[in-house]
Amino acid sequence: MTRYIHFPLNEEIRSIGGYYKVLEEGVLDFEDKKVLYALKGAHVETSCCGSGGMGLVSVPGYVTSWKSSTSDDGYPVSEVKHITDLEARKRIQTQLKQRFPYIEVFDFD
Amino acid sequence: MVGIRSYGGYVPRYRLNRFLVFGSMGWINPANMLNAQGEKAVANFDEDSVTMAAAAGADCMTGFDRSEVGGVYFASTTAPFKERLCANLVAGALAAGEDIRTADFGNGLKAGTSALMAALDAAAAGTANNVVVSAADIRLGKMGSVQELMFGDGAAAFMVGDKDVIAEFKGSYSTGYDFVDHLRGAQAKYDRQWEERWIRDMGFDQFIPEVVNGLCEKYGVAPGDFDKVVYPCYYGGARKAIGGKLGLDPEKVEDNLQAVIGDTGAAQPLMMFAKALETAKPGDKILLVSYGSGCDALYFEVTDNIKKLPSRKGVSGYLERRAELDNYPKYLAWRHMVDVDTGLRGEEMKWARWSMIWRSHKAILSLEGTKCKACGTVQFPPQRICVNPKCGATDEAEPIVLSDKGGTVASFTSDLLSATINPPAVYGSVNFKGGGRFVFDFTDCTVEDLAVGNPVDFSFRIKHYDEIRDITSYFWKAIPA
Repeated sequence: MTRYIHFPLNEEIRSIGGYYKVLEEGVLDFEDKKVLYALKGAHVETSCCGSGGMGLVSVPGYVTSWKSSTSDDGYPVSEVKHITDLEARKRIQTQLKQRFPYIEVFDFD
Repeated sequence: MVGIRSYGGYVPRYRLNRFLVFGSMGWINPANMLNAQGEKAVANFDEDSVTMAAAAGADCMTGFDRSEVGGVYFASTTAPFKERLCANLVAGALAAGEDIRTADFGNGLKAGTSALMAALDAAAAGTANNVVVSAADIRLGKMGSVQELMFGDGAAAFMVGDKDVIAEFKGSYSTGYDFVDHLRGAQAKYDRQWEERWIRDMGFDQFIPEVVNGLCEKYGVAPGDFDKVVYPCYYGGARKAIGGKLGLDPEKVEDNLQAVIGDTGAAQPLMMFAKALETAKPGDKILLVSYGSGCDALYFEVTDNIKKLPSRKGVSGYLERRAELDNYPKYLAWRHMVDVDTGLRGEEMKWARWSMIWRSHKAILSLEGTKCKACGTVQFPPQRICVNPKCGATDEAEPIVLSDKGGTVASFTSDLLSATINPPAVYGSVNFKGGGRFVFDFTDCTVEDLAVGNPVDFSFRIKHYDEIRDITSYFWKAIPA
């Protein structure tokens, strides 16, 4: 199982080249499973090669436990099972695309 | 004692959900999703920086006699004219008289505080008193740009004088740098900005602490001594970092209104200051900082007089008066960012006839009519002969300003044939309180919002924009009270 830390929404999570924010989190009903997804915006603005960014939907996996523990920083942690089935990924992406038609990047890894 | 005697605010009625814009334009700049939170206040099709400054000025004048006004200063980076003093238009809308000081301030985002300091200096020197300073902006970003989401429209106004001040001016400290983060050339319609990290790390993060520390050193105070601190900064993380660098209690830092209005340019720090005064208590120390090509920092201390100030709408009151603009292309049309077809009637030439406008300028700008000294009958437009058939007195009329009288709807209609960028045109007759009747356009409403007998207020608005000659003409319209 993979741990997923629920960072606060709309807070800048900075790295050396820029930052991203989690704008929305949700759970998608998919067949007989629950899929965790997170809408994120990323902005590269302290890189030497210019600036840019994107919106993306991150799909950490199927939810196996929901906010069942906390991280060292005190944030809630869920557990997910990575989605490896490529056909399932396509069907999930189709559902998510309906919800987020402006998003071009869906990250399952 | 010199300082602020009164304050006012103005936020246009319409709000544009930023995600609506992103939904249309996110494809060109996906990173804009990070800026697509909340909503921005957008001026109606018949509003600009002059009309918003007039509205804030009128709010500021609540409870004050217009004959007290000794000057009107207008501050904006989006003045509708390069040569025609906009302060005279605002002064006219306030019916502030013509034997007063008027001046425009512009070309930088600290123009609002520059105008405020000029008024404070004039009051201290005894050269002008009760000067109304009104700042407004309506900046544009290109479609799909960060600025399109970042910028909002609004205004704030202050009356500055040397008695009965609600906030005493204790002093200021300024810096001026040719530091370019945002700019518009003389012919440019849209803002252009340099990289975000430049604006944030080299601009806000350096200059705001510098000017605050400069002021504190000059007057022997510490940043933590202030009860309310106003400084603009669009970037949430950088804004917190500035507060941290100055050791400010986050509770004492005023909200930048980004989630509900947006960055209103030269008006931004003044709108935040006006909102801070809404809840200020006697004894509160307030630090007002502007940013743009350097910074101004102004230090005020609130007096007991603030308890006596008549209530007004203020920024908060206007924030409550809201309606969704759920149509992004309509916003583009209102701001003349796209060409739209208003039909053959829209091609009609409407000249600004300056000789006629001058002859009637008090009626046009101040909604000044006449009141018969013999029988008291009020008439608009102004008349030499009393309209009352039982009176008919000639040259017995005195001027009367009707813009603040309010009225009631006498009749109304909704017209889809008239050429307008905001169809249908809604207009009708309005009875002034105290007498007189005239035909007005109704604005900030739909026809469903109107009924015969309903109360209305009057609002100074754009009557016509001549796109060929770039001439804006103004008059008063009626809005539901």
